[in-house]
Amino acid sequence: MNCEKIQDLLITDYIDGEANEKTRRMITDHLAACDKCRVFEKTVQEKVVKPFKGAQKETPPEFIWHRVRRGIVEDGKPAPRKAWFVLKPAFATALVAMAIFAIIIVSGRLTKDRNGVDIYITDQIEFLIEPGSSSDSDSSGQGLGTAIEIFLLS
Amino acid sequence: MNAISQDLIDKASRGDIKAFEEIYKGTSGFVYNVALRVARSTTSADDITQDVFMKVYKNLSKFNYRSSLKTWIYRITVNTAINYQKAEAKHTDRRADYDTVIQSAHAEERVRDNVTKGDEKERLSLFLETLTPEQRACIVLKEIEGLKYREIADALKINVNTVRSRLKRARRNLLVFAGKR
Repeated sequence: MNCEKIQDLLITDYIDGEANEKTRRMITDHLAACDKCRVFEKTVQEKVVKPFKGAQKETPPEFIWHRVRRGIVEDGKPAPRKAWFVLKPAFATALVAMAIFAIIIVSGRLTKDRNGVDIYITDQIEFLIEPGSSSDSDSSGQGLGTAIEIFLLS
Repeated sequence: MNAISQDLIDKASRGDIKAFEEIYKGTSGFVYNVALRVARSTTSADDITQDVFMKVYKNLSKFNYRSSLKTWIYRITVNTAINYQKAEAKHTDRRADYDTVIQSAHAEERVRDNVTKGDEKERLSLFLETLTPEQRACIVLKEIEGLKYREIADALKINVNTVRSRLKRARRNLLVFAGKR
């Protein structure tokens, strides 16, 4: 690996502890043999790493919390949580499509069943008006109704 | 930052100010420091910190736990600080290019002065002035907040190689202004 690539690694992954074991070994082997890169590494430590070592972390002043609190009390209402049944548009569309499909399938079954109901009703009617049944008319064909009616009305 | 429980986040998202205050106490330190280093003034850092926490409070119910709360708040902080700085630059009616050139030139002179004066804190502040806001954000998150490349990438919504290249450019700039031996 050439010096430019080694120096790129020195100024990034190497000093940041992000280099893997193989890369670290390659860099240290190169540094052992290359004066120019060894000087560069020393410069990076001195000018880039060291200035930040002593960087102090500041504490935010107390008044900031009071300002935040006041802002919340005055007008900072949190956004309401979305209701669990509020669906994303794509999901809602898919759900509607499934519902329509389900309705079609169910109504198709009902149509079949309706045929079955119709057949049953037809059978019952035929049974009721079948010759020789009590619902038949008398032999004269005057249609007086059931035998009991004939008896009572004659 | 001590781990903030989901229970605390849920309470705060429903408007519980005491719960939100706990979140504030656990996160305001890094928010303020990032704001301070990116915006380069304490007045701006105060305003940015306040703005960040108002946004956090208003949007906490939308936080979906895809990232950690810390990463989410870092992202809000960096975006707010960079936008604040850009808005300030517009308001002062200076062209960005001119401003950067002038500031960089002045920073270079002051850095050289301070190298001899040995004022580490001032020198660090001036180093950061020579960087773009995006480079500054990466350097601050790495050097001061100690985040890993993956964490910086998640916070800034960029990929790891972009983090690497911003750090490389920022550090090359630091070397130029500090003067290589």
